[in-house]
Amino acid sequence: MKRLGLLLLLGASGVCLGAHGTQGTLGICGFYRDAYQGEILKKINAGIPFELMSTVFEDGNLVYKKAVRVSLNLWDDVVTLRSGDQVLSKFYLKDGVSEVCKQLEIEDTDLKPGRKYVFRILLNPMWSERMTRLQVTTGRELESQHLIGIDWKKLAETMPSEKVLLEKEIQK
Amino acid sequence: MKKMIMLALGVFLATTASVYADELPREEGLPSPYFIDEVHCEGNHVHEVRGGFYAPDEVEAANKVESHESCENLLKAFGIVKYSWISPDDLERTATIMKQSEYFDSVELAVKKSELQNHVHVFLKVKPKPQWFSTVGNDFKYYAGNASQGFLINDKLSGEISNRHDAPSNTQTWGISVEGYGSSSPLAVSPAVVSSDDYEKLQNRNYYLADLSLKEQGSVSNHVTYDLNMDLTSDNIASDGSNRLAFDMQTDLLFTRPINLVRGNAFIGPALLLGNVMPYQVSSQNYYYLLLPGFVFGYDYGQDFWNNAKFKISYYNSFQNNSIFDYAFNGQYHMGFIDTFLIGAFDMRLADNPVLPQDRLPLTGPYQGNTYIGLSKIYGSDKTSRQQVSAVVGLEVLSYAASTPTYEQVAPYVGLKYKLTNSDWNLNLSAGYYFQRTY
Repeated sequence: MKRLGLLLLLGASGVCLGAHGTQGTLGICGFYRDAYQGEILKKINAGIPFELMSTVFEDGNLVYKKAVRVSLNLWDDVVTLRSGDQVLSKFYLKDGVSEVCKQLEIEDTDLKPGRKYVFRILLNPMWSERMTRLQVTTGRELESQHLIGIDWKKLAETMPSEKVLLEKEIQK
Repeated sequence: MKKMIMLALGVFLATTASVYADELPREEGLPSPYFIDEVHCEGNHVHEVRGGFYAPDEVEAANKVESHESCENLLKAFGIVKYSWISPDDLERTATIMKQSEYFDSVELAVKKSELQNHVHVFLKVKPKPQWFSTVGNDFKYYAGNASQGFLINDKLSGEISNRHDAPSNTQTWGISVEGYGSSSPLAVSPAVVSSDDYEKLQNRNYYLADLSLKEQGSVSNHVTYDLNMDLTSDNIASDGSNRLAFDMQTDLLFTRPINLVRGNAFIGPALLLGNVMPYQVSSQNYYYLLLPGFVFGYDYGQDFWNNAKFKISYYNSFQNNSIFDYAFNGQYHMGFIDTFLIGAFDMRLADNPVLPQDRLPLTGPYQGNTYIGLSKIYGSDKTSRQQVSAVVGLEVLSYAASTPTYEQVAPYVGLKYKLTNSDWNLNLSAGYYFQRTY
């Protein structure tokens, strides 16, 4: 039954391979596989919780974002995805490639027809909610000793991050 | 019997199902903290032991020990301590801080499970930035005096170089500065309102002040840090132009603690100020020393390139009529439009009896202060290059004597500041126009 579910899931992912998903989504599962295998899986295996953020930019400005926090239980290989305090999903690491993208999926209903957008998956974005949660704002022990030097400048505009894992131009 | 078997099988299946069902929800809520069994590093700076009298295998063993100690110290500076507990949340925070650290070009932090449940090994792979970091600065001031005073020019050129080999657990900074004063005439202050000693020093129109310094900043443990400042100063402020030499050392041992509610960091601790001032031709009359125990406390909030507020209060008392009270505050606040900040600062020093040559005048019970407010704009967004340009208006106050009321000079001023921050060096420039003379 479980395998059947997995097959159905993979089938659904396969449908997402087009430019857009079948149900008014961007169909991220169809084109994020390399980013998962190259970077995201490595990050999960490192055992340190981290954040992924799906973003849509128009003319360089952030118009949509959705963040998930990823953590791994090292002893049973269960991955948990959270948004704030809410648990979005739990699955075994081996199912990660199909499960992570579901939570990064973006509805395209807010995107205007005919316009060009850039979709990016960001690793550990420097956004206020994350910085507040991690309390990365102290001065003496961090900035004054050069322990930290966050690029705060265009925080609200361009959403700086540790790394852009995936970038793709999209047009509705 | 069959019923018993069926019942047992039912219980077994139910238990298995519940275990399986519980397996995923078990991780609900925050994950348990990890106990760190061991730490491993790659790429960190190590003081390598050379060959010499030792056999190659002894050198190799010694280097392994050095490498491991260096690894432990490096992680300790970021709050990861061997044989202690750490939560996944704290690991995420630490990884974020390390990745943003100005000491490294790249950082990879990982944990792997150890033999026991919730026991882990921590793995760190870093690519350090260059060992040396330098700062160059120039501060120019023009004091416009009235017709009887003439103008005074002050320029201070300074340079610093920091050794980050043992950073962040320990950083040494060597500095040198040369400051020159030149004026067309001495400041017109009536001898009646200043002490004769002060008045003599005001007569020297052209004088210099040179300073060699060594600062060391390090951490003793997670919450205990120290700041050590040593200065060797030379000047000819005296009216006859004679030279004198001074040595002073200030050390602060600080207990620091993050204050999470307001997202800042508080620190408090004992301090010691030791000074020794002598003319080049040592005579008992002019030779003096200072030994002032004291304490400091303060609070830092925010980031250098974002909203921040910092204040520090230091008080020293020798219990023999010598005391110094320092108050320093500065901060900046984002104005709401891109990269423009409201900046401000207030510094004040009250001193009883002679203090250090850097204070230029033997302040007998008076005070000196500086305050400004202004606008600042930041250019450049990446870690490798940022520039900050500021325009300020302010007041400089200097009092000369303990008479009542205290005689003081107040000079309003306007100034421009420029700060360039690169990954390897900083440049600080400032220029001020003072509408009156204080010196």
